[in-house]
Amino acid sequence: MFNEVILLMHPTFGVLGMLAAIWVFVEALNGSAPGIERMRTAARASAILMWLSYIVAGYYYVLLYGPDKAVIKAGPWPFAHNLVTETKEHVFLMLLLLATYLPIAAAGDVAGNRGARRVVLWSSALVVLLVLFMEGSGAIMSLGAKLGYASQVAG
Amino acid sequence: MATNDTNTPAQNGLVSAKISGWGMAYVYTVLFNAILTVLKEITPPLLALMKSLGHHWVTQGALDIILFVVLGVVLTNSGRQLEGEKLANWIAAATVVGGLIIFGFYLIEL
Repeated sequence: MFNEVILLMHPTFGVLGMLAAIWVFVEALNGSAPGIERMRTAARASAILMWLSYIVAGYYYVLLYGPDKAVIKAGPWPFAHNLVTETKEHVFLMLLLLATYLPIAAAGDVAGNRGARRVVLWSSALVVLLVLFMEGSGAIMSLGAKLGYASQVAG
Repeated sequence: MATNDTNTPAQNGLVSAKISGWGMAYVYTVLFNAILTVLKEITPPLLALMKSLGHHWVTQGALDIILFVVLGVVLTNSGRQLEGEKLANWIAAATVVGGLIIFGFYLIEL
């Protein structure tokens, strides 16, 4: 049960971090002074949630993923590990750094400086897109494991 | 974006040294991360070295974070201010290129 909880916490933190990044994007797009503090709070929340997702993912990936990895690689969808997991684990490090940068970018004069606003818009949008990529990759990994275990039962 | 000496930095779209420095730290670290991903996979001694320090992914994450922090501090202290639009372009380009290097490498390795 603990393993499953760990596994579910990872995408949950990730999606919540993505929602916070969407909030940042919308407030930056609006660009009004009253929303700036809300945007900065959301940026901090996004970074914290992404770090929580990283820590939980790291725990699962390093300590618990081994048996699932073997099943995926032996199953009908080995690319779910060899391509998708491998890409996901390394791209996630980019996402972590970008989410960490988000509160730094959001500390600028987003309401009065077009350049500062552009940096926040792009950074938050990229966080959202990277999380969507993570979520899709996680779904493929899950399906790869499911098919692998199913083929073991059938075989 | 064209700059004008009579305008304030904000009017010229310049962002602070902190936003510039940490932004470029992200750009350089993302490219380092992509190159290290490929290098460790094609260089067994490097992968073994990284594994000797812990799980290779944990080691890579630690190297990324250390590099990001060091570059962020150094580049911020350099005091250089960049145009926000250019910085945003660098951040987007590094993210796309870094992601494509990693994805492309594992696709080729299939």
